[in-house]
Amino acid sequence: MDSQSTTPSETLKPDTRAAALEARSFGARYPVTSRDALCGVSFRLMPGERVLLLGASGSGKSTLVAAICGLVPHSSYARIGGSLALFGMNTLQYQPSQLSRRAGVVFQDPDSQLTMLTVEDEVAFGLENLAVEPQQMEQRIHEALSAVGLLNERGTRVDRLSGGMKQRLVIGAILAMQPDMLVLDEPTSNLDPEGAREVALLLRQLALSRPQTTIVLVEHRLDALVALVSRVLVLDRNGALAVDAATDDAFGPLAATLDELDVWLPTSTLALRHLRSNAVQVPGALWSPEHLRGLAARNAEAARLLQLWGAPQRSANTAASAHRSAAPAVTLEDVGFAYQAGRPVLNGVNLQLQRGEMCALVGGNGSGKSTLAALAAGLMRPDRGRVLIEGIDSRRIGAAQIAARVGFVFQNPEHQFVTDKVFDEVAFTLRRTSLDEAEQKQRVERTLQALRLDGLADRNPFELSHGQKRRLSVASMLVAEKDVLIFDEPTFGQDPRALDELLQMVQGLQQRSVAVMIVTHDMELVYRHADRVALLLHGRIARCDSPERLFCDDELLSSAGLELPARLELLRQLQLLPAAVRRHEEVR
Amino acid sequence: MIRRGVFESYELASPLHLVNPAVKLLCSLAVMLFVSLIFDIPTLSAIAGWGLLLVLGLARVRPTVLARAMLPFAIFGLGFLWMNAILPRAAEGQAEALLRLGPLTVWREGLLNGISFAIRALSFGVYSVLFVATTDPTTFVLSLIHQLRVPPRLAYSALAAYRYLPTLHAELAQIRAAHRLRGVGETGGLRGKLQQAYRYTIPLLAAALRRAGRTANAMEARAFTGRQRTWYRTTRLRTVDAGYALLALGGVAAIVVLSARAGTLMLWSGRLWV
Repeated sequence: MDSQSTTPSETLKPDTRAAALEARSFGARYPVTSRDALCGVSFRLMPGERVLLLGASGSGKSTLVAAICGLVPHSSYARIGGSLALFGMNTLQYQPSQLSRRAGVVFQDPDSQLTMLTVEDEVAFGLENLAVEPQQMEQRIHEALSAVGLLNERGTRVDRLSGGMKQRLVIGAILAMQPDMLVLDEPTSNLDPEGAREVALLLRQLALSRPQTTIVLVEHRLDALVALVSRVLVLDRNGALAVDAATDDAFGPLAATLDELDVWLPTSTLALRHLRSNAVQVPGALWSPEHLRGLAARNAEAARLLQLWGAPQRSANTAASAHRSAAPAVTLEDVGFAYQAGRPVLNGVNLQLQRGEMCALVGGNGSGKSTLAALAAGLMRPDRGRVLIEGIDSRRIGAAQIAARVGFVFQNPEHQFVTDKVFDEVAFTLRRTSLDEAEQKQRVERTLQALRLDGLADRNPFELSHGQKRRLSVASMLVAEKDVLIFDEPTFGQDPRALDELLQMVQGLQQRSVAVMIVTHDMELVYRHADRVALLLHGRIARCDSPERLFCDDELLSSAGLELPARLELLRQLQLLPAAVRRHEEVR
Repeated sequence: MIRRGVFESYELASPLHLVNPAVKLLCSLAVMLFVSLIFDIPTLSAIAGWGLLLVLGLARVRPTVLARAMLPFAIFGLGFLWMNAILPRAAEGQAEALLRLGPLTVWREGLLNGISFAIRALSFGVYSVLFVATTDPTTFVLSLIHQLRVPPRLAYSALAAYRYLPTLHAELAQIRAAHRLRGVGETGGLRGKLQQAYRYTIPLLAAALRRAGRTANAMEARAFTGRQRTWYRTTRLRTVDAGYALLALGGVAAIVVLSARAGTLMLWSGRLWV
């Protein structure tokens, strides 16, 4: 944790022999907040080193990233303690425009990072800012675009690229500026599985082909990118550096510590934790898939346990089977829908949502998942076919009736806030029920408590942190008894604990015989929690089946651009796929 | 085949696509200023007609695209026409009633004024389309910087905002749907409408501000300061630009001169009314 003592280079002149990044008791506190975003952080990173920065949400990862390129404190003011130096340049004394010549930052959301309208202009933008001679730009744009595989898209309008291509373009635009350090702030977390795979592959290639480039990676989808780094830094909830260790130590012996810090772990670490909790003797330093492979080959019991760990674990859903005979909560019959004439998004969709079940809806980006969810919620009317909500045609059901029956948790929680206070926000849902005031108040308080929002009842919803906003939007839907609850991408931007809580609550709903539909890219969630999964492809439900049967069908998965759940992917690499998800010769 | 509306027509090609955007903009603005000072119907019609000729001939805008783009201007113009026709604000005693429809009277002077306002609205439309349908936003921003000396910081911010516009619409639709599902009725009445506007504005504003902040950060993180930068592409003034200015403005000037000779021209005399 402590840095080797060197003579502080307080000169303004950049020194290329200095550490790539050196923090000395570095702290930051934003105005009007009562606690430090970062607190006494010290580490030293040498040129060419690759480090993974982890931390629960709100632990100050983004602040550290913003400080590396000088955005904190030069653009977003914060009181700074200690120092942070980038290649010997004290970040307090240099402007972001100077620091960004040495460190290029890739942020989460590709859309808001793109400033120009076409691919080549986007790459040129950074070069123009560096005052590169226009004659040299041609060459550098060509090199950068070929490095990120976008040479054929030079003249394409940026808004016509897929999410993965946009993020590759951002990376290309930064590579063209030839920085000595790459800072990657959750570069894949806003992308669908296909886009994420694309970007992860590109980053692995770049890490190999540019060994001299220092990399700071912030990421929670670890499996695809963990091979890139050799060192792990973990921030705790107070913004202090809790762990600074080699990757093998962090995910091996220190895995339990990391777990307590609420950070995501590689799937192989989770697998080993499972083995240890089942009394299998595992040397502490082991964590990688290669280690696991060796262990499974030597130890038959370990192999058996791993297979069991990967087998479908959903307990038989009694609630769902009890309601199977009853009428479905939502029925879609031959539903067709188009935003533009002649370009149907959905074309002949048939689907039923049973009470008490959890049905996952999966498919590539743009496959019409959100449209289908909106139709099932009665938010839009189908062009063709019909949607029955509790047996009533959605065309003939009023907005108030729909609101009483269907709950919908939107991707952006802010969209559904209608009052100025957290308490009112939840109470709003109960306002037209027959409950008397005292009972309403009690229910609201109970719900707020269940979602860890009880101390915030008087706050404005827009002032909450992102995680709190999400929990509030869930609370406002859970407080009343609905028949149907639809979640749009609930895992987006959640840390492991928050996600576990949400899923536990969803399970409670199933017991209450609510029909739950989850629109998601998270296959691990589908595999572990869904009773059924519907796969949308080319405007139709290509398959509606139990998760384990869907995940047997490699061809269908790859044509829909989907991937295996993380644990199955790991077991596939280990050739330990459980029988239930192994592709067998089925008699058709 | 992607169907292109007026805002995507810049991806097509026409002689006008080659003209420097700053020149096009100044020409259109000059004509609009001129049009505001002319009051007689024949001259106004001729200027609008000249614009139409340029739009269809030089800018090669498809008539259907033009028609759709002109719709708001036409509605605006008709509103003006109707309002003026029934308001008896002409010089006292000289007002001449043309038509009586129950309590409404259509006055001759009012009608003529209305027609001239309507044509003016249409000319504004035509000369706007002339610019919008043939101008690549990036080239426009570059010409603002290079020819009109607009500070790069300002011009690039405008470009970033322009990129955000299409998503605004989708976002509003989502907010409305979300509110409907929470059981917020779309209430009538001024009070209800104001309350609704307030509820929609906050999340839109919050999202816009956050996004603006992220974009500004991303630009700074790519060394953007607006100073001491080079340009991958530069826009220059060329002969074709002078040619266009001469043609567009010359045409309008010729119409005005001819109209003055024929005695039809009426210029602004300090009053909004003839």
